[in-house]
Amino acid sequence: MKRRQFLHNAGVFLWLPVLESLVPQSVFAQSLSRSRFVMVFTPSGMLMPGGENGNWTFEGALKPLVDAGLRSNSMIVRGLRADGGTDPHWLNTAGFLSCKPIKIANDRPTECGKTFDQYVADKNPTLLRSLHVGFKPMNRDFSADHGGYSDRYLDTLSFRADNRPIGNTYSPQALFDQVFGGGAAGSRHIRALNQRRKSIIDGVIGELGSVKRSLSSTDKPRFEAYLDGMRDIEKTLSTNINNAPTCIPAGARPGPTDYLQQLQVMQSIVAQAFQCNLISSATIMYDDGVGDQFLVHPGGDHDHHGYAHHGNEAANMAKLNAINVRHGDLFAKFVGEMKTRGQLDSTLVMWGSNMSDGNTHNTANLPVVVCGGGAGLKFGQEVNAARTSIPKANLFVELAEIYGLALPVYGSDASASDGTRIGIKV
Amino acid sequence: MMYKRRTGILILIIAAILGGFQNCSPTMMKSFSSVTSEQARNLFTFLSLGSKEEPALMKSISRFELLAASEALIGPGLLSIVDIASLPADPKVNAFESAAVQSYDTSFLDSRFGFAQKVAGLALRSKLVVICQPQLIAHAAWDGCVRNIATAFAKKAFRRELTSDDEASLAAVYAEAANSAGAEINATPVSVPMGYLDFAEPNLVVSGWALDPAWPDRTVEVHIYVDGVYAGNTFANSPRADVNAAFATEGYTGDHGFSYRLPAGFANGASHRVVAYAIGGNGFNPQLTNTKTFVSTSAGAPPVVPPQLGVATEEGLRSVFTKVLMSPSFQFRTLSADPNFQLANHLAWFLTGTLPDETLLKYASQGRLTDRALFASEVNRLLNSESESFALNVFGQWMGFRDLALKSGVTSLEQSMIRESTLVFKEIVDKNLPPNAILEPGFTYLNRELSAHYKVGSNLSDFARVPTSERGGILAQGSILRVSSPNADTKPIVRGKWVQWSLLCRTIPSPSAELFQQIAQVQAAADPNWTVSERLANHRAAGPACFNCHQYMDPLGLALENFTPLGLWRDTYPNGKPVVADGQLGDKKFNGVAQLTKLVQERNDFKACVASRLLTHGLARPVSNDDLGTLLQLMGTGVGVRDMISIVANSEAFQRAARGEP
Repeated sequence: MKRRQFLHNAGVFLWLPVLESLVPQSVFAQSLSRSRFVMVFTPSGMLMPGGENGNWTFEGALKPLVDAGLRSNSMIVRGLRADGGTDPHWLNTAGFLSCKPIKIANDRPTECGKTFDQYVADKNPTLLRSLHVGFKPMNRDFSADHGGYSDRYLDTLSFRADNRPIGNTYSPQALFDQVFGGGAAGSRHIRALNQRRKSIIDGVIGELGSVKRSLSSTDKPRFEAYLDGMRDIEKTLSTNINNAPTCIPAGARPGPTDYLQQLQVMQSIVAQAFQCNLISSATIMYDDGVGDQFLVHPGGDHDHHGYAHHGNEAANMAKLNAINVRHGDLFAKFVGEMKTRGQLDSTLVMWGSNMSDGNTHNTANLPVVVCGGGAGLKFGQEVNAARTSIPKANLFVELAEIYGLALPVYGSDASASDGTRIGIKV
Repeated sequence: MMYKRRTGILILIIAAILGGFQNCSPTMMKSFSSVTSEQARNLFTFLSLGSKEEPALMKSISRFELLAASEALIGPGLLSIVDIASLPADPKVNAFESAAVQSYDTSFLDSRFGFAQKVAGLALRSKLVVICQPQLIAHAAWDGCVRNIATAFAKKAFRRELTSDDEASLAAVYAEAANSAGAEINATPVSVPMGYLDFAEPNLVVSGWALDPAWPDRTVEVHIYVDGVYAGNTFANSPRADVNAAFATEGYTGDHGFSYRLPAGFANGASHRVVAYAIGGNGFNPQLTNTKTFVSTSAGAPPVVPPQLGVATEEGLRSVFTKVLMSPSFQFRTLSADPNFQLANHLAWFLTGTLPDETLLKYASQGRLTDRALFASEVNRLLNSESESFALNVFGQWMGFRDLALKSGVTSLEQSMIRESTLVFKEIVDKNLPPNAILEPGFTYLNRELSAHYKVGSNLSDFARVPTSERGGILAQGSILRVSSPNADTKPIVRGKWVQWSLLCRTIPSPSAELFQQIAQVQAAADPNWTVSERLANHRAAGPACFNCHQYMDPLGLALENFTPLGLWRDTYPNGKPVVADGQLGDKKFNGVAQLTKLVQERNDFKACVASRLLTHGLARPVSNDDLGTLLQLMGTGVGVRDMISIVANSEAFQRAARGEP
């Protein structure tokens, strides 16, 4: 009753009979357990000169959390390290949530490891499973940089299986349609339109069957991926057709906007999707793993990556910090909205980057903050203040316990967990 | 005699590799390996040739090919490059999308599905697609015009003959979607009469608008009555911006105007009264507001209107077009098992970047494309007519100026630069100039904007050929200087890398983590007042680990420091310090870009790079050790760029690649 009242006061009305059956289990579960997970990603490190001994504190990029009254919901984790290898822009973006190395090859360019958000999505099945947000599709040719390093590794945070990357949605309109079925709830025409779309996809899936005839061994996995992707689209359309009335958008279908607005609109849709229990995990990339496409403001300069390679020059460091604070502001808005929509108790929202000091590609002492509500975790504190060097994979081992996942070891090779306890629980 | 010449080239190249480039530290550089006694195999070491790859059947057309193919289907002017900006970029191998295979995931397929729906909507309005007038009723029958429209579209999109299964599938899609729309109409009463009869002219043209607020996206059928008698029907699907503007808050988008010419008999000098009705479902057919009277003595020409399609017909065809555009037969580069159609597809993608044209398809269906002489004449025909497309699609993709058009906020000057580069390469192909012409053509193409920008040429309005030694060479083309300097300042390392990759086919790997620590130390010791040239010289001197790779990049990038990011010549930096543009390529010193241009032309690895790039795109796969013979042929003395393209297209390797054989 209290929750219903709270939601009503928040200005959102949900169909009650359906809602009853979709109450997240965290309301009944013990305080330690969570059922939803979000990873928010900023590339190329933060302003942490001194890398391994650098500071990631509640001033600077985390200050917006304080200003939004969310300090007591935030836990800074220090000292986590990842393998940087040849280039952490690639390795520690695709490998951030899996802690596994990327596969270098031209024939199968995207294989890393199944990611933590997908384990959570498996454990807590929902209609749409998970959402993945990015800013802009990548437009560069990186074959000139590293042979066999697909640029997909820069643009993918989530892997459904070791060899199944999940691409991002870049458009607020597309994300809106995915979650809300393209229009006002209950619209007969939207439902009929989606029905016709679903028929088309069904027909194409049928045609694919005849393609399967004599595929080579390198083509077969591509075929499976293509078929799986088409089935995912079909499933989303089915969900929209059958369930559109249960998730009503808080606003109109979005129009064109600038960078910060676009990310804010999309992360708000993600928060609404959690509230409608359509997803149990999400990843949000504020930019790709390098960060060449960021716009501080319309017409502003783009060179996030350039400033991250600050060369210890004060002007560059100031510009980098400004970008980090902008991201911190976006992040605080997202955590705040999850709290307002009553989702924070059941969810952990992590913000991190593929490096600590981008100038030297340092992957020690990565900036990581974990936000959430409820009891059981050391919110409002720094954990591992001494910056003891611990594999990032160890964090996922301890998180797995909270999510009820059986993952006593995590990651592999140079990024594997090693049994050391970080101690994130109270 | 052939063998002798080849051996001669062999020795020259090995000498170039040994003499020109030293190894970077072995732990870092994989693309340089020491030359062993197996000279033949190590001939093109720097190209990192591997063994043959398994050809891929599951290869989608790139988004650029998708745009071109869609334009071929629906006609020009309806789509632009902006429409593919939101599609994910296709991966490239050795500068070409054709040599790579996309990674298929939901978001890739979703973006293709969105694009297919957009193109399907435009197809419904295209006279190139709607080639006949279906019955002017809500749900036109399949047999007859609708079937012709659907099969013509599918045949063109699939670029092969249709099977009976294809036709049955199209008919089924049409029926299901049309029935669905029909049911929707019947379930949706028109709530409030919404429409207006604006004009009834003396030339007998009646016009106005109509829309259904309960279903704003659909086209409303309108019936016209003159003097109380039914006089004809039309569909309100013409653009009416004033109507959209008036309903901006309601969000009624789309085209809702109608124009209809009455039968000529009404031009009899008498006065006539006109009313119009919007046709809804469930028997609700409200009259459009307003009554008009007119007197006419002669009928005018019928108004030009979009294809007239009833609601269910339109939704039926929309689904047909969308399904065709999502079909593997459209989305994959070559799906046909017939060698003739395989060749038609493969040749079209290579030389034109779009669907095979009618002539190619005609020869394919006659089974004649496998005849080598006819095939060679088709190669010639397409090279004659499509060299401009080749210049933009192939050289543009390889050098990078094609993708400059996708830059957000691309300016008119940058668009002109893209056109300049395209026209220069077009002439290099048309006149069969040698590969060196890429560096020193002796001409460029300028319009008024570029002429003023470069300060070359005069009295130009539209693009014209300008003989000059100052511009036109690839290192002096504005598009390239822009592509290699995307930010406010030039970055010599980035430009140097561009030269190495695009003209010499060499990759420079990124530093390791340990090396980054060294870099940080060197940076900390740098004097902030140094010019970029001094700064880079300092850190080249910082140690062999730095030097070994920077010696290849910095000098080339520094040579281009006389060009600003927008390609303007400068002798000093904004802070007044002079630009120093000297350096070393291999063991040869140079001062400035003109000398560097000469040095690159002399190198055999430049020739080998040009050959390998063209061969990569022609075969749609990376060049392998088995292709050495073709590479040598491409690098023969006196072989011009057009010859090279022709050799690639007519090669045995091309025939095998088309058939899907390794």
